[in-house]
Amino acid sequence: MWHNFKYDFLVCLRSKDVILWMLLFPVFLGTVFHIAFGNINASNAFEAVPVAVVMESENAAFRTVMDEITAGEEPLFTVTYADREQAMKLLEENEISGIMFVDDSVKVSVSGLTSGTVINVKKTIVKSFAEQYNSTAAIIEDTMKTDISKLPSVIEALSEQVSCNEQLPLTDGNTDNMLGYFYNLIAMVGLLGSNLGVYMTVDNQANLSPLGARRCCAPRRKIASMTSALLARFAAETICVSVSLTYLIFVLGIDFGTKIPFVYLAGILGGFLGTSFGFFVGSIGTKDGDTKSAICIAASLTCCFFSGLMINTMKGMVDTVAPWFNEINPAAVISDAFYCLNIYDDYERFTTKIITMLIMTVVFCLGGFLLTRRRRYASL
Amino acid sequence: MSETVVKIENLVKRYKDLIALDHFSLEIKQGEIFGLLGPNGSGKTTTINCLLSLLAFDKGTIEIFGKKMTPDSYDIKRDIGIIMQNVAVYDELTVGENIDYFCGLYINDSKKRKEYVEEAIRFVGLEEFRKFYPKKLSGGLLRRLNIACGIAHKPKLIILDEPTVAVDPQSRNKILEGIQQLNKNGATIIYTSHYMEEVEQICTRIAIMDKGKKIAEGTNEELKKMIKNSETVNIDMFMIPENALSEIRDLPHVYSAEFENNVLQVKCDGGTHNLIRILSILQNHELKFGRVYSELPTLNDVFLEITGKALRDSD
Amino acid sequence: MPVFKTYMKVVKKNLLMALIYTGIFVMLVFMFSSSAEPSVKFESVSLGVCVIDEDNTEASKALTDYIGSTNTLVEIENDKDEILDALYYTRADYVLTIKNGFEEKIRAGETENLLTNYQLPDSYDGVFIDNKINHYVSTLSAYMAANDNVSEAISKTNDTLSKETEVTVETFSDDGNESTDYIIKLAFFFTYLPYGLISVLISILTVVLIKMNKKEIAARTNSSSTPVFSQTMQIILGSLLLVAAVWVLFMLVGIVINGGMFTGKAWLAVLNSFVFTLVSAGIAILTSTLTSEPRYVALVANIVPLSMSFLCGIFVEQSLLGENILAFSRFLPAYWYIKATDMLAFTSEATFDYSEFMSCLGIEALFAVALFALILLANKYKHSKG
Repeated sequence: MWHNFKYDFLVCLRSKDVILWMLLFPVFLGTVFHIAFGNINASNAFEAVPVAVVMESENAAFRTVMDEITAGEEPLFTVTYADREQAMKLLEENEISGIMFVDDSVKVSVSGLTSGTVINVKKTIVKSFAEQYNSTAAIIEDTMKTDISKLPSVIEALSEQVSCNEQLPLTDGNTDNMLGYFYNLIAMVGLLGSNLGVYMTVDNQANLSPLGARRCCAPRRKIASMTSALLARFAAETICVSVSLTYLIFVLGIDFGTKIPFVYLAGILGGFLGTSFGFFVGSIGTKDGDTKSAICIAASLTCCFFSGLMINTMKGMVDTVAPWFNEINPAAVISDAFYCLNIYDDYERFTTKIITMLIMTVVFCLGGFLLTRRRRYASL
Repeated sequence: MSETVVKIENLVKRYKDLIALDHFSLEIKQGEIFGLLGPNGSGKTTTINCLLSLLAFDKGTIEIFGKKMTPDSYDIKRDIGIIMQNVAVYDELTVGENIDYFCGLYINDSKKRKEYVEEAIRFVGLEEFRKFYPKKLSGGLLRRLNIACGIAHKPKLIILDEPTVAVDPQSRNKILEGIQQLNKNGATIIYTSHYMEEVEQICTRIAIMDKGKKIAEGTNEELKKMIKNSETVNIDMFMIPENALSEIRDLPHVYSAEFENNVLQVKCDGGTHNLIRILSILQNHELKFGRVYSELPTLNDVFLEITGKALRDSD
Repeated sequence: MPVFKTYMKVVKKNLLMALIYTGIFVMLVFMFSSSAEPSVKFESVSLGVCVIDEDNTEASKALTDYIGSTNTLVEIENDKDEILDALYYTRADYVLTIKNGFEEKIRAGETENLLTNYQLPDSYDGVFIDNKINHYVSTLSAYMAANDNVSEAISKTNDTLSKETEVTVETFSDDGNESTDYIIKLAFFFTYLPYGLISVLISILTVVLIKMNKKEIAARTNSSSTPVFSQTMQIILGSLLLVAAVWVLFMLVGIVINGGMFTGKAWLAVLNSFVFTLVSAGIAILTSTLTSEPRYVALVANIVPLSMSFLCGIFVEQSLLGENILAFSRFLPAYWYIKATDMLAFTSEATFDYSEFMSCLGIEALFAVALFALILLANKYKHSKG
């Protein structure tokens, strides 16, 4: 058994292409993510929102407010006063974020052609301003109608910055949703372990390779040699995941939370899951290793796609359409494990994810062992 | 009478409509170098795979060392060494490691294994390549490694399935010598090939296969005696008149005489002085002739006569 | 044309990965473009909000009703774990606690520490509700300042807030302008396109070329009676057809998404995508000259498009990426593609400028030329090496 394991492990470590890529993948992409997202928040420093104002009838109060807002060091808006036609043209050409049509109250026009996060935030700012102005105007008008003596206190109440609603932290963990990309990256490394699993099956099946035939002729119980081969792949995968995690956490300084040992545990179990998935796929049918490996990579990629490797809001979308899929999508389970670990104080949800991973691993392994238990083949 | 090592009885293997083995039987005694000869696709490898219990078969029984062979017959497997048609070694392991790995599947005692591995390396002459990875080895060296992996554990029965395909003549001779050496050391050998020269050269007994059937079996000499042809005389000449040709045909023991491409080919079924008689006819007709040579029958002739087609043609 | 025929057979045999990438790309486009509304999401759809009312006064009830008027109120036990669960499993999007003394404080003109809330971090929905509540509280406190009667202040607040500010989303379609030629769905399609193109081309073109140029096979075909030039031309023809087929296929997807043939401005995007297809083909061919093992290719097809997508603003908008990243991304062709696409789609603040757009395409074309020069160089190096 030890003899088998030793050499299986050696073979794994020396299949440089597979291992190299499995390390290159997270190191390279992790670095890319780190560079790309590291500055996202910094780049969002506030800029004045360009708007056009169309005075449909002269409104002195509005102009006063606007003048006040556009003056100063950090103005909220840069304003162009224009007629309707000019303003529309500016809007269409994306020169401004919105138009305010000022009459007794303010109406807003924004472009339906533009989109994008930053632009949408700016549109929202325009709209909120108009709302604020309208209701303030209404309040002041109301007050003037009812009791003009109260006006100063009303204005005072209105001008006071409202900070009535405090958002309480849900958790001490890091809830930056960009972390999802890194979680998914490790999930991908785990699932790419399926490559190891596939080639292991091919090397052990007499109908898939000459090597398999030779191994089958040896006086060893199949289940024993399969087990040692699988354990060797688990060991290799453990190394891959650990190196990847170490790079992300300690070199790039990605915040995986404080429960680092459990992060490693989750990652490594994810690797086992991927490897046993490959073992299972490798055991099905008689296609060659390269084809099966392509299938595994494709499956891993698809899983990670649904779990948000490309666009991190994907998991949320899946959650609204088919929440059950997030429970069984291996990539989602692995990345959720990291998420739960970082977000929640207790280990309850984390444990659920770990158990899900273990169950999937066991199911794939059992499937693999069942499919490969046959020792005589119909054809070679 | 020495002990029977392998006994195959009425083996039938079908691939859907194709019958790969058709009631094939075989008995191999201890100490033999048994040659399984036949064109590609005749069922040699299928036989070997059934023998090794890798392949499920439809009918028949297989016994090795007097015991029924099953996938779980580890005590039988322990004493078998296989060298497959395709090189089966790990690209990721060095020559030494590969041999040690496969030997370790049979031999648990690490001290003994070390010894065995060294012996195997020396046996195939790969001492200088111990630390090489298989990808760096030439075709011939790779085959030798393949063989070393199969025999390091000193099996009593060694099965070689076309071990010399695509091997240079030097390595081939080395391999063939090696096989004879292994046999001398006490191993029974099963050797499949479609190269009849090799089989003729080293095998003590031969079975010829075609289309999943055994069509002949015996020693080299026995096989050759089975057929009519015992000598073929070839004479280079420019022309031969019809009457001379028919005179030759009328000679005793001559059963065929053809003139084609400036060569007169006369086939005889035994007797002596055939050549002298033919040449004297030619002299009588005052015919000029060049090179004269006589061939003894080959296994190809055996195959040709039994099946009506040449071994080589079916490659 | 024996080489060409073989080429096509090899293509057929190796379609799997390319199909998978096509599938992922199509899913990506359809899922995200269908979620993209042509207008800004001003009024979020009804969200699940849980209000825990500790104050239980007229004002707190009014606030609860106000929130409930546009959202669904859900009940959750007041326990941090329960709340976390509810938010995590999206049974609720927002949990608001109205603290004891809410009405008192507003009456006294205080607006500090009236409420607390829990929400999932970085959710836009949460921000909308935040704004709604702030607006309500500031309006209410203003009316409270003017009225001694709480009920009256509340009714006036409700009255004022029920008058919605009118927001028009201009589509510019009425005046016969061409701007509707480039709908947002199509913008999504063209933005994600480079990911699909590079992935698909690496996973098919690269693999096929590696197999066609395998040392043994190349040696055999080179020694055949077909002249090397003709062989090369046949391989080039096959590759051209393959690349063209991929591009056309993707354009068909685009047409489906567009709901009809492209018109007007969209053709500029088509042109942009064509130039980028050449770049992608260059990347794929270069990859084939640099690797010899088809099994590496699956991983290259995974890494290269993904990293390019993140660095150049395909999956994360360029406007969100930091200046220093963009400074680096300028050396990647996809950056220029996206810049041009953003210009067309108005997804960045760049305004459309015809000459600038064309210069982006020009730079892409230069990348393509550079890539093909590199390919020639790599081939030459390979040959000289033996």
